[in-house]
Amino acid sequence: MNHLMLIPLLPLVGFLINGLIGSRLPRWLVSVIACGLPAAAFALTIGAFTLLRTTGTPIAETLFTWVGAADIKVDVALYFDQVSAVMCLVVTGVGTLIHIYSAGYMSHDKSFARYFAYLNLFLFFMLTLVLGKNLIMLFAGWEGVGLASYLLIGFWFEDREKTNAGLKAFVVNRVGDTGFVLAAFLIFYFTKTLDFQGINGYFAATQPSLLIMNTIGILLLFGACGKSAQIPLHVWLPDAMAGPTPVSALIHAATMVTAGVYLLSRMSGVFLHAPLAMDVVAWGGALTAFVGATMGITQYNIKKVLAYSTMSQIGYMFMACGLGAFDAGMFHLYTHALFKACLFLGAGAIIHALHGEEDMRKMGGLWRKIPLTFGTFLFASLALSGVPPFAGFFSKDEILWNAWSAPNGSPAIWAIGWIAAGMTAFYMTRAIIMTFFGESNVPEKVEAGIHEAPFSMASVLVILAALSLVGGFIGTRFTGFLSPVLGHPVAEGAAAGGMEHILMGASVAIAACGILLGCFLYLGKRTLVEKIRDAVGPIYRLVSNGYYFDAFYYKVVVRCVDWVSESVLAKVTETTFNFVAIELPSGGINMVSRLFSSLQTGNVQAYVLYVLLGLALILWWGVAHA
Amino acid sequence: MLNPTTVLALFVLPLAFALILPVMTERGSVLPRIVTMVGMLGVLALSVTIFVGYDGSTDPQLLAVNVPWIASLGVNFHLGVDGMNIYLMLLTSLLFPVVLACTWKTAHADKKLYLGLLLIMETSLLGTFLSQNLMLFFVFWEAVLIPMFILILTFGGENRRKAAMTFFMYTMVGSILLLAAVILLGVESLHQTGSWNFEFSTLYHLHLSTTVQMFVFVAVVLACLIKCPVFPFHSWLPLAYYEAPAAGTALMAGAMSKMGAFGLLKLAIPLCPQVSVAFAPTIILLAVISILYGAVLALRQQDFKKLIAYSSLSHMGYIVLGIFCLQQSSIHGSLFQILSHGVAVAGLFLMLDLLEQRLGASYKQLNALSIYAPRLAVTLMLFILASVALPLTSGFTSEFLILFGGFQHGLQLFNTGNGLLVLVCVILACSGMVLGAGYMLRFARAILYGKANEEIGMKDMNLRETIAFVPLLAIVVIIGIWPYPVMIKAQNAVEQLTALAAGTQQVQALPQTTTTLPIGGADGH
Repeated sequence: MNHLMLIPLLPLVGFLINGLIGSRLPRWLVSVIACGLPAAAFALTIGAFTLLRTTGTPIAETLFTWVGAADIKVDVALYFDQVSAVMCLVVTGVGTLIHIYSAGYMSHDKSFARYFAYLNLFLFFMLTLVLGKNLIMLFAGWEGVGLASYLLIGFWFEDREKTNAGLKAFVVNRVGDTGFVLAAFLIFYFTKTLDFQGINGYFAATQPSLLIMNTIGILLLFGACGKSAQIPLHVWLPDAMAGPTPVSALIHAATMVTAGVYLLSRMSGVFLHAPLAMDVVAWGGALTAFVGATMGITQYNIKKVLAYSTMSQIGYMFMACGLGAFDAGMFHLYTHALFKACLFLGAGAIIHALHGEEDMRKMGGLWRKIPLTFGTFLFASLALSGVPPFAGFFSKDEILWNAWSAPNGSPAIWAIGWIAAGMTAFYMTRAIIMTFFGESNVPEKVEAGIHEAPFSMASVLVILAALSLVGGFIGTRFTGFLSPVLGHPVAEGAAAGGMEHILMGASVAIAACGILLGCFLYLGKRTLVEKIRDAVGPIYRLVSNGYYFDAFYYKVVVRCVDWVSESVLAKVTETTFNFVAIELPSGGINMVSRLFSSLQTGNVQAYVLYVLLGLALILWWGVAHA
Repeated sequence: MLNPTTVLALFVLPLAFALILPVMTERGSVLPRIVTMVGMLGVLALSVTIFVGYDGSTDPQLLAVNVPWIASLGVNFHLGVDGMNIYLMLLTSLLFPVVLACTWKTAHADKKLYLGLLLIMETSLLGTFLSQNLMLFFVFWEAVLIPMFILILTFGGENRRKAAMTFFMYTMVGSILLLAAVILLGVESLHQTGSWNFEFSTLYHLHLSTTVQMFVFVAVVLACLIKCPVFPFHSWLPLAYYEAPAAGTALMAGAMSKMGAFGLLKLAIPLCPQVSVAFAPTIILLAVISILYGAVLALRQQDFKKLIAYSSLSHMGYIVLGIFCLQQSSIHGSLFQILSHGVAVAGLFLMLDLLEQRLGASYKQLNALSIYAPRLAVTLMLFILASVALPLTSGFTSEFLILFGGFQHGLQLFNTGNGLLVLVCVILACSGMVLGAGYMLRFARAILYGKANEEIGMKDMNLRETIAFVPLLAIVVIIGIWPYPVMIKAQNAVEQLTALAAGTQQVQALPQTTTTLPIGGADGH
């Protein structure tokens, strides 16, 4: 029996059962199916992973030919190597946990079965994405997770804003996808295959030209930017927070948005020969890490803080990829999945406790009321801030070290990442203090009902918090495991050892600074915060409005297209074509027919006149041609 | 079951049932409807048998009926199934029973005229697609117009007179030139073989001078582009799709528009390969303008029917693009798109009609369908996703193959110094992916989502309607997930077509044999 095929198929079965008859099943059965099948997929993944670790040879499975003609052949095939293994473990592992959490979180929702159907559908597509053996399989999953994301963001479809957010996410992703598709076409033109091994093998041996390689790289990056919410295609992610919070944890933090990093790692064979594209990836990542962090500082909605933080952290992963340290990127992807899922789920527990309140200004003093949530949230925040020995410290430090030491790294790119790390620590401290400390700003009616999360949610929080603590210790073994696929350019010189420790100290120091500054500004009266905000008014407005990206896209791009559609094409060209092709000929024929019928007067004298005129014409013609 | 009788039965069955109808006198009984449905299902059964049995290398004689009709003029009654028309045969024979099932309870279906028109339309459409004789093809090509004209005129909306006349006259203009081309080809065959002959197999082997090819190509392509339609010959489309009764719109968009694409594959390229290659970039440009023009217009259409009508213009552009890229992959993509778009667009129009049957004209303000009627909503969503070309639906398979083949072709042309036009066109066509998602999801948002304010007492899909839509969705999913077994049925036909074009390109590459006509400009701009 094909075990690999079962990994994506199990969630698909869950989708079909819950989607088709779920509304008629009891809720406990719906949740057992929805959580059990991903858990089984997780077990199978562990099995395949163990096999891979012992044998070291990737597992491949060809199921059937998708299309085949003289000029193209694409198979439906699965491939389980070290990179897919890591992704697959994260997706099924964190995915299963979030399914379990959801059973508690969504227990009051009337569309319980539909929710789980979508969630399982997401897992199916995500697993297709990570297990696909060629670009088409990956793309099928890639677009499929986009669909699942669209459906889940707009899950509460009675609210127009939520469905708008879903639409926006899908369309912005599609913009990136055109880059992806064009890259695939261009790759095929040279390699004559869409298979990852074939592509990487081909480019390892021969490269068309730097221009081509860089073009492919940048097109792929554009695709990755869409899915992974990187500048300039990041605008959909904050809006995507309209979906249920576990969805934000699973799709918009832990798994789907990191697909771009997976794509870059998968296509490392292309990037290693495209130096310019690598620089663009690295600097784009650094820019997003920085800009995302600044936007995180200005938000009041707890989920949006986390959303910008996700964007910023994925920026780090892109930066790592751009520096050639694909393994460091994957490592951060893995630790980020743990602590960011924990943060989102913690935020979910807070929102759940406050009956839907997401604004941090209406929270405060919660740590006494929900201590378990507070504890797990704190752990995950420390991990995100890069405080040792939490998981995020190891992975972020690895990336920053590469920023300094990699062949195309530089102190400048390191400094950007370093400052962004400080800002990360700052905005997380700010979020924690506004939520858990200080005076309570919760309305009294809600205050009475605050309760700790139910067992299904709390247990998941504890597991993820524990993993956020210990998950980073496997660092060297992790990169060692990936090394057969993602070869790493070795940092030059053994003397680097000393520098590495200095930089590590610097990252810890800036994290500490961020935390202390956060405590200083936000503990107690926040008069200083307001003063600073007023002092840098224009900058504050720029940042808190997301640098007006949204305004630009909406007011310029969308409005322009709509204007062309309505005012130019519909009003002008369509009318013109109608006139030229329909009104004019039919009017002309009408006129001619009226002319001729008006000649038929019934008056004999008139007819005699026509005869004479005719004769005269004939005579004239005869004379003229004589 | 693969024998000539099956093919003949396929064609004769609807006609025979159409002739039975007038004999039945009962008014308001369901009997005529049942009889019509039996006839259509019979055709469907035969066509599925042929489709399943056909494997691409089946002997063409086995699936051909060939009897002399006007022997002295070389006009034979010659029908045959081949790789090029097999999808169209299936599509046509599937759409008719589905359309009838969906309009089963309407006032139209009470009228024997309506049923008879549908059956005659089915016969003539099948005749068009299965013809292996050019004159026969032309006869059916024209014959399709008549039942459709009467259908719009009798059962259409408020503005039906104008719509029917516009539709009829506009497409007629294309047909007149086509007739001239048909006669010219007959004359050529008289000169070259010594006798009149309109068999495709003979005509394909004539040596046509570039001038003759030019004339035939322009005539055929004009007729086809009007039929599809492709920008700028689409003016009849919004009005006709809007005013026609649901059955008419679904069949016009689903099956009739495909006649244009089929004509390009069956006539334009094999008869005039050199000119086709030379003019391909121009046609590709028109196709891509269609894709974008239709898509941008669809973005702001408030009326659902017009929105789908313009989306259809956009999707037909993909078909024409794929055909004129002349790659195996792109032509396979076009053939799939013929099937995929036929099914999806008919499904969308029929869904709208189901809503109109339930709510009357107020369906235009409908929202929150997901709450009122979940099954309708899910079905509609699936057709929307197929139109958005989401992977695992037929739309993706076809659009991917078209754009893939187009891109390879365009880059190849560019690399061999033949201009950038095709490559740029294909890249622009890719942006249709974004626009398509935009207008289709705006449509979904408007109709499916929102707050259910009052109880409007809408019934969800019943069993009859569900059964009608299942085969359409099956095609969407099968072509999306495992298109290969279907693809091999058309492989031989596609190979022959591309070999013809490739042969031409090689000939053109030699400087001595390049044509002297000023057609080089076509690929220059």
